[in-house]
Amino acid sequence: MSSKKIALIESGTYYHYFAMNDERFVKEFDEIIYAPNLAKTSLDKFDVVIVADRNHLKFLIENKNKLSDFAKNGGTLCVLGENSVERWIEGVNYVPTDTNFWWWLDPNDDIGYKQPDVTHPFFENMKFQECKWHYHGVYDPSKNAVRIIERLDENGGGAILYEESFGKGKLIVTTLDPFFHTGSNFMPNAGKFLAGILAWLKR
Amino acid sequence: MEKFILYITSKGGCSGGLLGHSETTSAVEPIGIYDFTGEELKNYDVFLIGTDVDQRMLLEKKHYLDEFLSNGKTIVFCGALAYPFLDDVGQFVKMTYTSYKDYEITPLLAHPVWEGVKPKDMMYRRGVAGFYSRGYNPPPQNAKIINTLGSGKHPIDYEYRTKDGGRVLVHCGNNLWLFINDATTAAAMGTNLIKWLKETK
Repeated sequence: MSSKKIALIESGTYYHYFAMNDERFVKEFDEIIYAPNLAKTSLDKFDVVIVADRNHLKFLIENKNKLSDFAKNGGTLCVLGENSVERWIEGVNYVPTDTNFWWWLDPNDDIGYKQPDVTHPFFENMKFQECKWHYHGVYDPSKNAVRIIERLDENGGGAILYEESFGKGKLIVTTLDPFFHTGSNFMPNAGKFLAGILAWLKR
Repeated sequence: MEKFILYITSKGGCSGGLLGHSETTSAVEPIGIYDFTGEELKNYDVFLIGTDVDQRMLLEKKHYLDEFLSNGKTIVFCGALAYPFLDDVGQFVKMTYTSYKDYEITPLLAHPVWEGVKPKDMMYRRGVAGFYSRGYNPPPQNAKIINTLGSGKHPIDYEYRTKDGGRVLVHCGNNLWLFINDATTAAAMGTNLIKWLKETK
């Protein structure tokens, strides 16, 4: 069992509430930070800060220096999808895409991911298949980034999940939104993905 | 049309087309959850709460909602109740899914909001079931149950009166107006809702 201390930033929505209180995840977070309280909460004691997907942008922008500094000073900042991270973390290049919600209705269709390097530690606790529901855009990260899940080049390329060094710490960014789908009781893979990424972050 | 509905959203902007639809936009004033003080309710007859709103913040303003209801006004809530900002409604219970039949909708009571809406159009979007509701907020005993979900007959749409005369309509799922631009009968729920609120306010 890792001793890493994990904080979760959430915005009081039903999907944040039900995902973070899901019996699979309720013990995973050392502290829940309600986004309106982020400004008055110190991040110093945490190893990992997770920004749940679909937080309210107002508080992320208001606290952008605090969040950046956390990673620059050695923390791991993990930003999940639909948070417009390119607007509050420098160096993040977001590329909007059409979201194909329906690819799984066609037995011959696929979500369009590139076969990943499954020796990456991220995949120790989860199957590649469990990362598939639908993504909201891709990133075009720097050459130094490790692209963990990528879109096929013939579909336009780009990273759906990547990690890179950020100051003394690390930035992990994805366009997947597991809290929303777990808390909405919709798309079972989202819960498996959330379990997998938490296990990886705690290593 | 006079703007008699205050619609609280996470961003203060458009959600699901209610503010962009010609039959509804003139009745609805949007406000972002973090701009909402509670005092604004004094100027409206209906408070519309959508599924994506910060319910924890809404709970902090609950006394304004209680006062609004005690004045005989109407709250419409679409979503899964996580924080108890409505006294009489229980926390969301997610349903257990065993087959597509668990998403079947059974109307129990005719209601103007669902007039002309076929249950199968509520159940399916593009042939996929589950958009309408995937569980329920337990209703108060005096609720009139309008629609139920699955073989468990979970109450997913209902209307009730609070003890001091307020009116509450609850839909346990995505915003009723999510479907407003669909090409099916489900589109009518959004326009019916505003029409019904106007006629009964």
